Amino acid sequence: MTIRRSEDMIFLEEACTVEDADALLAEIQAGAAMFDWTGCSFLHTACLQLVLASRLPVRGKPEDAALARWAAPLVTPYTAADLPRQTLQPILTKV
Amino acid sequence: MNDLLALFVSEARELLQDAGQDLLVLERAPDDAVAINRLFRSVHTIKGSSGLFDMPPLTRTLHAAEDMFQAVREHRLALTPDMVDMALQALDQTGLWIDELDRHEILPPDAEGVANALVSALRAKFGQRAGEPLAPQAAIAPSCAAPPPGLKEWFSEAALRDAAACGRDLQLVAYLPEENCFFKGEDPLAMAMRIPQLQALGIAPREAWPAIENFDPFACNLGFYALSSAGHAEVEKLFRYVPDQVTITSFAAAGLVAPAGLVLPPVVAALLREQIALLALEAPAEEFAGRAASAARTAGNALRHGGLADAAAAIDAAGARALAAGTNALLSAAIGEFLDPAAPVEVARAEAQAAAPAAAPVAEAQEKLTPRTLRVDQEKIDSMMDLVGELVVAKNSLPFLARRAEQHFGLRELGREIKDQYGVIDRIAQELQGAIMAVRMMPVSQVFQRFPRLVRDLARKLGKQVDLIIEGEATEADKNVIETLFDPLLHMIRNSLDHGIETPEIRVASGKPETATVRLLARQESDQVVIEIIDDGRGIDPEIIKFKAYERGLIDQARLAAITDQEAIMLVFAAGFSTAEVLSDVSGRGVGMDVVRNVVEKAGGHITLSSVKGAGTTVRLNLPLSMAVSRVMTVSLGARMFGIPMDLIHETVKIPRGEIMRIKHSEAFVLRDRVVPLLQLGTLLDLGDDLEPAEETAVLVVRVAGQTVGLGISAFGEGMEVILKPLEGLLAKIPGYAGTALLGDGRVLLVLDLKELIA
Repeated sequence: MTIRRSEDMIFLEEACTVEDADALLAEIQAGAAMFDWTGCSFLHTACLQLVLASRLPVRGKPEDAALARWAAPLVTPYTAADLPRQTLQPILTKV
Repeated sequence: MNDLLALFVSEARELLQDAGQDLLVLERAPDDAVAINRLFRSVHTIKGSSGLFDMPPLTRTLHAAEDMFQAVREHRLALTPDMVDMALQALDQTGLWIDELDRHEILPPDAEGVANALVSALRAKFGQRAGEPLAPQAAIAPSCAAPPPGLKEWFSEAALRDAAACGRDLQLVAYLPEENCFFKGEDPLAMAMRIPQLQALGIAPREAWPAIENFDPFACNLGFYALSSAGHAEVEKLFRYVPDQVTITSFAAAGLVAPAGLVLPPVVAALLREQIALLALEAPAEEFAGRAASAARTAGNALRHGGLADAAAAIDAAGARALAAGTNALLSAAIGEFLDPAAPVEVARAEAQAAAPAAAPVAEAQEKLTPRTLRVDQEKIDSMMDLVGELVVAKNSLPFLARRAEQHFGLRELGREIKDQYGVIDRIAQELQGAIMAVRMMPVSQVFQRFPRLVRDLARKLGKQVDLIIEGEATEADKNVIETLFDPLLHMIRNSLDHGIETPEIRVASGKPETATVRLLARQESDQVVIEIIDDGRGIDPEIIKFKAYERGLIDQARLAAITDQEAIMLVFAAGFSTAEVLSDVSGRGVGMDVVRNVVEKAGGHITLSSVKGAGTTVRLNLPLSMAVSRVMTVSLGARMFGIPMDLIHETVKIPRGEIMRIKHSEAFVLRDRVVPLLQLGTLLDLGDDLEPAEETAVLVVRVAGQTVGLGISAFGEGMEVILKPLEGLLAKIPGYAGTALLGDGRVLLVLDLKELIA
């Protein structure tokens, strides 16, 4: 799996191809709140488009150097403001 | 010649060629926005660049033409054939001037007068007086040196600053992929990141994002905007498969940080700097006026070239003031103002650039223009071809050596090894030969591209309406073949327009569309290039041809009675044949078609003609892809060996002695119910050998000059590829021989020219 959902975080890992766009959209529609693309080595335009269109914050820098240089500045950065939700989420779900 | 002028000459030639083609497209489809824009841009660019040099007649002529195209572009004026004539004339004249500049670096003395006549004729065509510009300069598409607007929408300030720091010309790439591009396997992001020397990348949705609930993940809604410091061509190459989705705009990087509204292309900036340096030099008082005036003129021209007419006007005014005041300082200061004193970084770079030889920007521009090709003297290629020929011959001696090793020295093993080695060398030699032939290949478009204009002019002269359709112009053939093509094609197209195509009235009366169609097609068929000229004119009436041929004594009465229609049509290729009632200056001097046939046959090709009366004529040229290697068949005659060009040979048969008939002094035999004349090669060559009459005669059935003939020989040899060398010097006069070829065992093979022998 290159699209992995954990709590409200979508992990984009390794090569995210055009075939993954459907799954990615489904996760976004299912209410995911942010992305993590640290493990991403390839991101197809279709997936990038979804990341941009969702306007959800993205955590980390992608593994691929070109992506990190050219695509990373375009996405909504993951800021401290996003942090509480992320840390609180597990606790909230447990409760 | 000055580098800048040389660059201008070569660029202008290219642009003139484009402009001519676009004009023809426009004449046919006046609403073609792409063509009018490109035409306008071409003419505008030449005009702009010409302003850099002192050649007002050329600049003014193009300016008038440009104004006319501007009016057409804005739909204020409909393009008429007369206007196209006029515009073509202006472009032709410009072409002549460019040639003149290439040779003498100045325009001919009569240029002024010619230009005046052209300008007033052009302006008269659209009711405008000379010297009255149609639109303010600023409305004209800016020379592409200025940065396009809207950059800040896509790129951050920091990204723009970084991009500007690379100090070269930048390309703005706007890449708007198709909505369904994902289905075509495209990945626009990957493509955009692959742009060479990418400096900045902006990605933005083209339309507002739909709600995530109804989002279509497979519809691409992204636009990509990139800045690259690579050359225009390099960037274009990356997008060669999606050219319609990309616009690439070049502009000077320096423009990104220059004050708003004032952007100098590097060449202009360099010229301005030169003028300041010139003005700063000490000069005797009497030279002052001339120098100041020339500096002001050059600076003004340079700025106009950069699309900065206002700035140029300011310089002109400053020049006048400086002259009146008798000091250079005013002018220097005025020029200096445009060199961007506001940005110290820029000035530092400007100084660095000024310190470098002034030719640097030119060299850079040249680099951008030159495609990735080598210009090689044709002689070098020819000598490579000769060497490969020798290699082929040398290689062919190995099988002989192998046989000698086996038979003469009894070394079977060695013989086999030599054969193995031969196989390797043979393969390499063939590949080498193929590679060199490929170097000599050129597309037929080299020749075809001259025809649209020719056909147009001819049709107008003859009062006919003709559409020329060209297909297969990418078909390639050897350079020599391509070069021999033009004259024959010209003759045939002329013939077709003059004799074949009817006037519009006659066409309408016979139920055909008013506009005739002439199709010029090229394609490759095995090792031949086939070129066809097909018209839908009146066709050829075989009865008239027969009668004319008889009248001119080309055929006798017996032949007149027996000749078939197809054979009759081929008579138009006979020397001294012309059926036009009136000799026009277009064609009809009776030398055309036989010259055509000779040229084509000399190039190793052949020509056929078919026609349906009332429906049109098709002329078909078959030409070899390459003339360097000829395929021959060896035949033996007693102990002698000769080569016969393979393309003439129809078949090989053995005829028993009893089946050869004697008709008076001639011999003949029956082949598939047809009587075929039999000629003995020995008699034709006058060898005088008395050969033992054999039980069976080997007969080569050949087709020469439209006739089937049997050629009696002793035995058939083998087919081979040879490099044919024409007979030279004293031997050149001996008829009947096409040339010689060297065989692998060192013997010389005489290759026969059957047409000369038999006809």
